[in-house]
Amino acid sequence: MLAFNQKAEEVKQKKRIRDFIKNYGNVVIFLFIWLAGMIFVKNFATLSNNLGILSQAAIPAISCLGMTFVLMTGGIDLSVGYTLGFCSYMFGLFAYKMGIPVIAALLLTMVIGALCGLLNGLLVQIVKIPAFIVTLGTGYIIFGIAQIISNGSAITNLSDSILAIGRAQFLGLPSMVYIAIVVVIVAWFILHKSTFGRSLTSVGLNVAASKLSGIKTGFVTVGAYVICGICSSLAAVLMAARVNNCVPTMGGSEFTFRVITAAILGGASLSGGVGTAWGSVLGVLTIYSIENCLGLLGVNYYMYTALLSIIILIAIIFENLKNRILQ
Amino acid sequence: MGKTILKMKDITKYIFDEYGKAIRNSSVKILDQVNFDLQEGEVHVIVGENGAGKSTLMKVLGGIIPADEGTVTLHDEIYTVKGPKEAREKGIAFIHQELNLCLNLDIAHNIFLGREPVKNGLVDHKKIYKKSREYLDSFGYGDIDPRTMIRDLSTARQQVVEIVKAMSYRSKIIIMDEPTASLTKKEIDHLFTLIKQLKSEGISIIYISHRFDELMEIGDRITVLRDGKSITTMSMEHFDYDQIVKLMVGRMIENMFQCNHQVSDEEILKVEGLQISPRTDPMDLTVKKGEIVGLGGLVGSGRSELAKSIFGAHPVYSGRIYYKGKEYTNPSPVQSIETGIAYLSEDRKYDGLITDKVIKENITLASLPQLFKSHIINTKMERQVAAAGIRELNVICRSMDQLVSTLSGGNQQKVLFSKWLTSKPDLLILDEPTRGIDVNAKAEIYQIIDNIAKNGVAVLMISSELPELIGMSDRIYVMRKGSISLEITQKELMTQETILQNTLG
Repeated sequence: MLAFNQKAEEVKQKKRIRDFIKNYGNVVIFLFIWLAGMIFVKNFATLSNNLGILSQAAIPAISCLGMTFVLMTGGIDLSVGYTLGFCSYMFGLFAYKMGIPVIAALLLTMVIGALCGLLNGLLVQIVKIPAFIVTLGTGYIIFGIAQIISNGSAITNLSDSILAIGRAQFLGLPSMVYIAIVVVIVAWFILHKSTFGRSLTSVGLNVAASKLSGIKTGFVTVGAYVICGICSSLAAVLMAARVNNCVPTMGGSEFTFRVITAAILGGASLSGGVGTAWGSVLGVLTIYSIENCLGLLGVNYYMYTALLSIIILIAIIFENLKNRILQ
Repeated sequence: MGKTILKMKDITKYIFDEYGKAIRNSSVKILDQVNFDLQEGEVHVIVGENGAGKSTLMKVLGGIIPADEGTVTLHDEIYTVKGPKEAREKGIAFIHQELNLCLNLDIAHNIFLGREPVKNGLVDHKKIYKKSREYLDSFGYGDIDPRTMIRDLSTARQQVVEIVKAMSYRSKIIIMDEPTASLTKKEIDHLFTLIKQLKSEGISIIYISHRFDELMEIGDRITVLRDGKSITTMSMEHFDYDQIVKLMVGRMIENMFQCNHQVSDEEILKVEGLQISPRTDPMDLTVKKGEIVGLGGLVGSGRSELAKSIFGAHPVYSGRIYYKGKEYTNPSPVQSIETGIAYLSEDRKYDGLITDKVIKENITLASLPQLFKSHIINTKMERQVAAAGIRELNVICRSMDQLVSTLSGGNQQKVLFSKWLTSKPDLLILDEPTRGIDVNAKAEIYQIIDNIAKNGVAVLMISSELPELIGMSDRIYVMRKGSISLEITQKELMTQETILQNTLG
């Protein structure tokens, strides 16, 4: 009997560790990196440096939240980087070249982002092609269209009113950080408090059961891609304001992979159904903390891509291990 | 008759959890001390209902799954195998209902698949064809060219190839799982000639079939399995149809089924001339308010397809569905749930529950638009709804925030019931509502179903378990080959024998 109790206690202990890894694995990774930076990296621990990380993370965080919606359905969107480049140029076209008021231009750009997402979603849902193939293809199509429209040129020297969207300072942080915080709250609400978010996780975990339970699985899936497109377009506008440049080559595949890595580091699962808004934000902060550390340590710029890729791999291995442990 | 070459003694197989670990303390067992023996050169027939344990017993013999307890003796030696390949090497060949041939290879290469003769480090194709020719000839199939592609052969011919392949391993025992299921009369005769030839060569055959007429013709002895137990083994000379059917179905547990519900006159569902596919006959069906209508038949007779057609998860080929007096056109799950039709699916893990979600989210899953009209989840209300569902159906759990996957089968089933009851249905379609749960949970589920009908819900219940079908139903439809073959309206006429006669054949 005693042995039995001991065993039960062991099982409970194991379960507690499992639950901890499942629920707080992303927090542990972030704290580990951040504390390591605080202790071992010179100049990391300053307030201005940490605020800098926040500013850098703001734009990718918005894209990453959009990606989280798509990952929740069990899909993936490899076109976000190209959507971002395309939307940034379109925004420049609207606001600068055509002289449309900034807010109207912003909304128009978001409509274009939504259309890009709609294209992805419809192809995935109706034609039933695996998401990574669809979005890889549409990504290049979007990039191609952007190249045609821009004719390879960039729009620079934006007016102050445009630049203010992302740059206006408040309490030591640029406005894009506050915009990102609003997006985080909205995304959190939709993901965790709305029936749409509930449907999203259900579809990601079990499409067949969701369908029989009367969930409009097609609508939910397409909706996730549209949200992802809108997030990318908002990120595009902020990015354009940040670097004072509207060019199709902004973003690209590197941005896409960074966003996906962040979402996975934040606890989202590539197989769908799992993920949180706060987790994805943590994932982005983790990546930018690493990047910041590497910068402060004076790591060669050309080493950077290789290192980031290694981190992507480690993130995916960890994700795999996590799933295996949970089983 | 020859000497006994195979003896299976006290074979027990427990039900297992999702990781394949045996659950020993459960009252349900897949196989429960089954005894079986086989003599040289005999055809030994195994019969039993769906789920009686026939396939599992054969899988144990074929090395596909291990038994938890019991011994198997082959040629007076203890027989233990780790896989189908080893079983085949020891002379036991398993011919599955779905044939295991590579369609894109020819006959000869299928026969030698995985053991191709080698010459100078290369596959010796010449020898493969020569040997295959010999094998085919020895069974009198001189007309079959070993170079023919499997996909160009009829099912009957593919079966011949399987048998020839089994013989090429010098198998002493051949297991045939429903070999005649997709054969014509002429092809069956051919198969029987072949079986008789094998018998005369001293090969023993274990023959599983639902077709009683052919058992008489081919079998030497018959073993009846029921609920994982071997009920009897007898010589075919004493074969008596009625007696075998009685042994297959066993006795009923009368007091498990309580019937407190009252059938009203109001027709909730009426189906007219419905076809589930272009090749099946049209069928009519009605379900009244407060009535439990049983839908019997073999697995694959089209019961689930009929249910799903009404619910909108399977296309309706032709015919009309009337729901509450109005024609229900273009059914879809979304619309069905809105208007009060619920479908509790057969496989709770596949399309019933989201097992990686917590109990409360599963309970509200089918009712999200009804419960939360503003599209925002009211956490407090959700907890109340879930708590009510858990209390009503007596789901045993630590909390409503527990993952469904951590519950027992019976409790998972109750969560599934709770999910559909939360959607407040007027017509509830149940597909195998007690599949894979233990006896006590079954009794609870029967009471739940009775209560549902008592509250005025029309219930259409699919079941393969005849006692349950007869015990619960006010009326029974029996399905065969995609259409309804019989309607039984009087309780006295509902016997397992009548139902079986109309499902088989």
